Amino acid sequence: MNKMVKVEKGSSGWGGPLFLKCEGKKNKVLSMTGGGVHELAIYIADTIGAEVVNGFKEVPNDEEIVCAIINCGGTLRCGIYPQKGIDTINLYSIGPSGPLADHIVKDLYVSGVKKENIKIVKEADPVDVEIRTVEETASEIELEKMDEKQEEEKGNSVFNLLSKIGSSVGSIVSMFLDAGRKTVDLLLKTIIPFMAFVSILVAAVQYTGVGEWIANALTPLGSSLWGLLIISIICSFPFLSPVLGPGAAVAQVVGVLVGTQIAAGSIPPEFALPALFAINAQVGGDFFPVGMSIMQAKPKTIQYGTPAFLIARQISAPLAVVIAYLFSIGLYS
Amino acid sequence: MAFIVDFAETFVGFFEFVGETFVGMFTGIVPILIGMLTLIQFLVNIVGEGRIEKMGQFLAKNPILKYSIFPVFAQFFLGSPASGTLGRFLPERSKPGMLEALFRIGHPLTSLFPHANPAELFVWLGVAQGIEQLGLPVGALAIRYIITGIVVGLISAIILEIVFTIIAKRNNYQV
Repeated sequence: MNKMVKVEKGSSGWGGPLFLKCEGKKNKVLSMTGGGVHELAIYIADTIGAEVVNGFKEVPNDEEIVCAIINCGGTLRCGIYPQKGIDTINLYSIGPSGPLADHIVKDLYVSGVKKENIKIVKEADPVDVEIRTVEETASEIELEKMDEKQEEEKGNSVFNLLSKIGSSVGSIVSMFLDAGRKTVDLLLKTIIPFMAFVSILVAAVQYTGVGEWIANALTPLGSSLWGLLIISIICSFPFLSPVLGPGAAVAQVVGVLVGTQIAAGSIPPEFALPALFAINAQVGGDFFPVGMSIMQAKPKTIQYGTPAFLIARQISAPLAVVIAYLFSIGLYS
Repeated sequence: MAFIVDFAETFVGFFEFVGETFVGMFTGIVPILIGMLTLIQFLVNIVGEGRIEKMGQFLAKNPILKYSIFPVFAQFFLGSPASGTLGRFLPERSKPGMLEALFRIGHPLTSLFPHANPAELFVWLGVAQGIEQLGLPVGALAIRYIITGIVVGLISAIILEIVFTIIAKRNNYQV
């Protein structure tokens, strides 16, 4: 009887779930991790009744491979098997990256996998049903196999230790690389484009006459507590806040404008803190129902929560300005 | 002819000014972000979702922490809007308040920890740059911004919870 396993992504992994089983000639689990066959490969192979192959010693034909186990930090290897249409399990938590990133798709690739992410499913009912007893026997078999494996590599304890150190260093380096990649991605896709926009905005304010016009309109509001209170009350009108909210675009633009006026001396710097709350009185106004569904709130909670949120904001927004005003006492003076 | 030359010079001058502003921002902000975002992302990778959720469950139980430290914790480790996912550990009654507190702490937190909501960084940076141009320290403002954010978040969340309970009661919705 062929068993099937469901492989889910690990806690910070990506992709999947994959369903793996042997079919005819397709009966080999390829371990491409280096430093001997990885225990996860042995575990999967034993569970589904496949043969484990160490990819560094012999290379099976592509059509014989059930899945490939890799530990790739986001370079070539993690894309190479998905490109060939082979199910790929990456032990490191790497999303689509590297030159073959386009081939890394959820149907073929799962990452950050640990042993607890692998579940056994019944052939008849391939979704979700787990058999605990089978799992236990599987791990027994695994233990035996591990022993055999260790006998095979007898006297290699120094080598084993070295490869263990190597793989943990590798996993930390790969986490760093992944973090760096996400950072650069974020900078390129969200922060730098906004900087380009803000540069033009600032230049337009300072280079043209618009600056004076804004200063005339903003200074009386921005340089007194009453003015800031008025801004916060207007921004938190229940019919206005959802319109002003999206992407904090309004708050960001006004933030930049307030900044230029502080630099120009028309708004005193000690008003920066209450101003930050006044211009942001509408924060999240557009996002409340979506945020509530992210929290898995019940439909009725969302239904009654949304008007409650808008009304409560009308009260709390001016209050926030007053609190910020009190907290700014003693700043820059 | 002189008119065209004038126009061209103003035109080019404008974009030179844009360039200067951009380079100033780029060299001032990006190098700091590169290191900081990478390290924090690494930290989040190491800690892992499992442990973050466990901590979330613990914080959600405490009536004072749930609207003050819990939102800060969620925004720091998961960032906006994924931070909302931790709200599922709260009872229905507290969910709107938690979301409000998340909104309120989000932008203040970006002043010291820009990864919390990098797409909306300029709410803070816009104002902060004005302070910087005056030669005043922005750190003091950032710390006050965060503390105020926590206090405002807590108070706003409590106000929202009261309003929500009233509206729910009127509609016979048990929370």
